[in-house]
Amino acid sequence: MYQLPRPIDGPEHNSQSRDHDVSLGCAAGPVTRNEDRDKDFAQRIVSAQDRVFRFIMTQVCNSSDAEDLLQETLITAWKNRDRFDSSRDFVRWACGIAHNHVRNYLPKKRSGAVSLSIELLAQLARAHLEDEGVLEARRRVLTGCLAKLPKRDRTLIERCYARGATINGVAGRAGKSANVVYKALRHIRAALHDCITRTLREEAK
Amino acid sequence: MTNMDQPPTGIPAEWGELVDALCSGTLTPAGRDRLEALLWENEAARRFYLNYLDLHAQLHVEMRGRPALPLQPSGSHHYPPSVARAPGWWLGLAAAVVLLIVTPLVFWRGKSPQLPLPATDTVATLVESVGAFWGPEGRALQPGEPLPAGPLELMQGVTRIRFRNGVEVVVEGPASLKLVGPRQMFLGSGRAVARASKTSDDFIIDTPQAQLTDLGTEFGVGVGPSGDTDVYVFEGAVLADFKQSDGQMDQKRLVAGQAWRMGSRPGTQPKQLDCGPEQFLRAFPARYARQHGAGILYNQPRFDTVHVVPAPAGVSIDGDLSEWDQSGAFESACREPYDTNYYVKGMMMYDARRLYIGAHVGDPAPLRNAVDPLADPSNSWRGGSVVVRLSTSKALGWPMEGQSPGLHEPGKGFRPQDVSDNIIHLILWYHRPTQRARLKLDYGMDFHGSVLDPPGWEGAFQADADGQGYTLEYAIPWSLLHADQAPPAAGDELAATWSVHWSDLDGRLCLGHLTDVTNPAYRPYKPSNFQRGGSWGKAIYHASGNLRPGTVRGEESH
Repeated sequence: MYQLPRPIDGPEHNSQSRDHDVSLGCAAGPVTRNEDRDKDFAQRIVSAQDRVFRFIMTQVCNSSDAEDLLQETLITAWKNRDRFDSSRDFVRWACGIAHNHVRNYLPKKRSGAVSLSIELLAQLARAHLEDEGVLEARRRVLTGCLAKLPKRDRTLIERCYARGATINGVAGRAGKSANVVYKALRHIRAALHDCITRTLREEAK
Repeated sequence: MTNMDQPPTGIPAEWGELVDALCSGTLTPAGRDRLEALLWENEAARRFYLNYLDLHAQLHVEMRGRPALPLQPSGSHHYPPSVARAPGWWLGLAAAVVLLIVTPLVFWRGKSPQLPLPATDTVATLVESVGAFWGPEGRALQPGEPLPAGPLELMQGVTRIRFRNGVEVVVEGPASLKLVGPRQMFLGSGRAVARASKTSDDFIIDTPQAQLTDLGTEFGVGVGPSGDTDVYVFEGAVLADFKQSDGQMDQKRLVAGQAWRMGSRPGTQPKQLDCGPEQFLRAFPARYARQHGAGILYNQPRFDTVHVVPAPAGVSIDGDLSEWDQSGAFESACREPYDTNYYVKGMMMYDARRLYIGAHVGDPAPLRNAVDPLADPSNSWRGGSVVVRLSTSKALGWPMEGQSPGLHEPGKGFRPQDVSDNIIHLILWYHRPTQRARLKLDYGMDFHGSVLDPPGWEGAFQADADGQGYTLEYAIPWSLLHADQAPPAAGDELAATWSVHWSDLDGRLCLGHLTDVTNPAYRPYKPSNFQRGGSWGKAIYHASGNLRPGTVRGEESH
């Protein structure tokens, strides 16, 4: 089974990794900096951020928290870029970092809201990475399922998932209670989930 | 009938309700238990959870570029997917990352406009710092600087922060923390000591494994990289909520003199520790000289020479140096106030077959190194080690010209003196997980040809009886130092330098280091100097031992 990488992944013997060592005042190796490698790393970050965001969402559910954790994850990844082995899967490496940030975040959250156990989240994290192919297929057909939604439902999705939107805000502007909006969203997401599943089944026939 | 109108695909409604409740923050403890049981036991439920949450996430990704528009009767806002995927803040971060490649690092606490952190009111003030490097670029926060809520990373040094409610916290780097509010902080790693007056409001330090509420007292908290949390109460009492893996809290009232640890492994119970307050830094090191590049555990070298004396017959490598000729030993220590706890007495001997290295190291966290030398070979020194760098070739001379190829101007390439096999970096450490002495050798100033535990050497460690240090003893054949054909002989003066690294309690993070036996031309000494062979000191190989008093001479402590 795939093991989540540690946040500071053990690199091969690599003199570049020691740049930060020097800044820490703990010196054991030479300093070099490879700009091409940094550029490559930045490109990896750009292309991976949506996948890492989705990974974090499956861990914490809340998009605001997930964005904060993504930010922390990408900063950690950047800080430790010299430790990344470019022959490895960047997304998995970054998701390992993200999972560790989630581990730190959950105990804090726990005092205010119920969360899944860290052990279960670790299991789900592995499953998520292993299921990436299936999940990507589901994402591919989401657009078609969104188009099939009744216009009113599609509009509600757009408003509730828009940047900066809150359920309370959407509900308040619509003159409805937040509970009503939550229930409507639950219904729409269930419909989208079923639509995606059916579409993929039909494609497989 | 459209696809959307068809009946559901057989997913129990309960699953969706539980996951929705989890995401909306309305899940009850009973609901959590039910969901946990489902997800552990039922693969279909697990798959549904992932599919459903991924859908939830993808909707955020798809819609993220849209502003939160006011509701309009038509509800006609429709965006093509290409527009819908307009960048959120994280694309700004990516842009910042790219920007950072070609500009100096400005990558911390909102310095870059592309890297927004939540703008909040000031919750604390930085009072003072010593040797503090903040964030990856080592920027300095100024005394009196207001601190908003948000993350802080103290790479090295010590800082004192005063929260708005009057509580003061001394943070010892490296530490990762987050200022949560005027009465609360989160310590992700590192050590901190909080002091509150009896009239202060309650002050809370959260860690991955505990929530500690200060009830008008002084207490220290240490968090290792694994999340293990140590707490020590100096005065008064602390209410400790230890977070267990099942989500339950184990609340204890800790009183002065008590130390507890909450481990991060599932099923771990809090346990009382038999340790003293010396693990924490209570008093701010006011007398510390503010030197360029200085860190908390840091020194300025005192010696330019290490005297290598002939080894007496019958030396046994057992971690006991009593049979050694210690007349050539040098003694060096970190700067005040750490000089009494962090120091080294180093010595070297030789014979026709082997080089002998011995040391007694003052270390309040001795023999803790847990870095896996196979998985993380370039960081085995971090968890606590002695590093001896030396030349075994007279041709390299002294001062030695070789230097790290990375220091040359681009295109200059390697010079023979940079990559000589007769330049050796020896990392000596006790590896706690395998409970044995280890040796890693790198060659040249380019650190090529690394070998771990090659055959032929002997090494042993012994901890001090009081737990405040250790003794190491190594014998290394000249063949491993590429000098078996012509080992150093009496009268030779070759390059050498010593460093000692100290770690945290978990043996993974370097707290600081000491370097000595250096070329006086390189003063004040900078941590990166070791890459320049010219900065190394001199190893004088003596024809006979029992050196006259006064032979070993060091400058007065700075």
